[in-house]
Amino acid sequence: MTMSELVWGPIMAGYLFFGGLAGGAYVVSALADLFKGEDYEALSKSGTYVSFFSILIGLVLLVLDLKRFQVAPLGILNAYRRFPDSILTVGTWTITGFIAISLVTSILWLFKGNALARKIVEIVGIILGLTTTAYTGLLLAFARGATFWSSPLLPWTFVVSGTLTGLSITLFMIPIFAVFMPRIKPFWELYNEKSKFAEMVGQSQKYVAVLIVIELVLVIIELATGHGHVEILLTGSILSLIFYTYLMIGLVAPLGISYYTTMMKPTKDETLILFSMGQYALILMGGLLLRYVILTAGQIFH
Amino acid sequence: MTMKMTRKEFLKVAATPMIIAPLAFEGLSKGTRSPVQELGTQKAVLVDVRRCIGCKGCQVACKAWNKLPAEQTEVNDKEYTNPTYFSSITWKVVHFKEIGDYDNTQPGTGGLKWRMLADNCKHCIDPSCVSVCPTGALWKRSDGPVLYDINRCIGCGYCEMACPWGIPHFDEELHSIRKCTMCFDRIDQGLEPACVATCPTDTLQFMTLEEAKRKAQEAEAEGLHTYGYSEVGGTNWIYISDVPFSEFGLPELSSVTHKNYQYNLLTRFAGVGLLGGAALVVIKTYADRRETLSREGGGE
Repeated sequence: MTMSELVWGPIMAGYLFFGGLAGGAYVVSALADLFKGEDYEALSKSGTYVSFFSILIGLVLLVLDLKRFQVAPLGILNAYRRFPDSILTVGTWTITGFIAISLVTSILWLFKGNALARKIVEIVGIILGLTTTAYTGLLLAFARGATFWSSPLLPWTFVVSGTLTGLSITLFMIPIFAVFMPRIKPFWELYNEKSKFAEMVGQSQKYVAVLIVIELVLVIIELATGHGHVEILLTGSILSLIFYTYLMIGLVAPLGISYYTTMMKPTKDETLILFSMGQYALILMGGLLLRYVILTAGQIFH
Repeated sequence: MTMKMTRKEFLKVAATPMIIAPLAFEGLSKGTRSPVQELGTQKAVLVDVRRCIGCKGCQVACKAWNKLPAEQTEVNDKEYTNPTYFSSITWKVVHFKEIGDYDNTQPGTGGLKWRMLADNCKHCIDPSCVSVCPTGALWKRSDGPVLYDINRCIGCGYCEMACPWGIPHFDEELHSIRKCTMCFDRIDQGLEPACVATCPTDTLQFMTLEEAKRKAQEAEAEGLHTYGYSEVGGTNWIYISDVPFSEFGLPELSSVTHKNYQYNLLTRFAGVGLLGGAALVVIKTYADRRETLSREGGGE
């Protein structure tokens, strides 16, 4: 199979990316709400809203990738039938549940619903969010025809990457929410008080760094214990170029920024925020490239 | 001009899709299953590679019986295999392989073997494609054939990824997955699959799975190679050869069935999670301890 004959192409990579990111963003925001409380309200809200819209984008991409959808759109309902025999059906139910939970949590935030109810919903949501993120990797790992994907580390790589990209988009969106939707509290209030936002961003850096290191370790172990097809990622193909780009912009450069912001401690809040925003953007691009590389490599050696 | 709608009319309009959707759902799921679900003992095809003369009669018969059109193929300069790949309209590929070295100083004594292998869907006993299919579009009939329902396929492509041999392919015109059906429609009429009926050398033989397994066992005892006897938990298409099947490019597969394969992977996934989680807790505890000690040291 060549890159032009792929069964699962960039749209599927987008689905895996948004699915993982949505799960990760929800988990991060719910954990912040459960354990950090009011100080992290902006982060919790941002992550919840982002997770809902991201999973919807993922769903649209999934539907676009179904080759029979235009002929028989209702046929998609059959994907609910084989629970729990098919992992894809398990995923369909999980994503459906996750959409409902992220919607309910978003409504509870938006309309200042009961905090206890929200926290109970969030506990369920954390389980569904993690399952959604892991599912994007398990889906590939269960495909026996693609030996490249046949690793228990692959789903964990996606879980870590999903959490990392989820955390990044959550923080990345706070200034955007603040600027474009200033009426929705407390984005503008937080963003306006630069030192407070800088503190939040600064504190997140150690989590970002830890997640990057774990992802890097997982990718290296996967390559070292691969199934003999690792060379494609290392030498002489467009895919290897994309893989190196992922390593550089998705992991190495953001890790460098983490080092700079944590160890060198920039004096100006604006500098810290600017560097961190750049870092989040790089992590997001890296997350998408990771899905694309893994998805494509697995099919080329189908 | 504005249209006014009463609450009753609105409810009627709003409720229509809710009524139609489940009906269509039921129609899609129940109305299109294969007519025969339960049959007697499992059927199998035994392929003795040593007998094949490479006439490609099986390939032609497959196309003819299943009304599969020809497709543009490319000549492969290294071998005579053509076409070299499966597609939605090519369900059988005959591999041509020169195996070993020909010693021209001693004619007739060289190790060169000229072998052909008629390859197609193996009709696994526990098929990966069936296992992963979310809609039940693919299923295993109790007498052996792995079949598909074009009306239930949603075109997710997962079966294409899951099959170790890359057999199922999506047909853009039919809007469904397609693959070898073991000529179930012929079997239902007491006939052999078209490829078997055409084979002039009895390379392909139609029999019960039990008999095919017994013959494969005997072949193994004679030191021959078999394929499909134990791979992926066994298949209904079993091969016997005097050369290793890796020569034909067939992947080496364990005897683990797809269900167990998934279970093993899930167990290892959980194991990695537990180990990783424990490692993170240890590292965090160590880091906290060091921080506390350094703080205490600084305080003194």
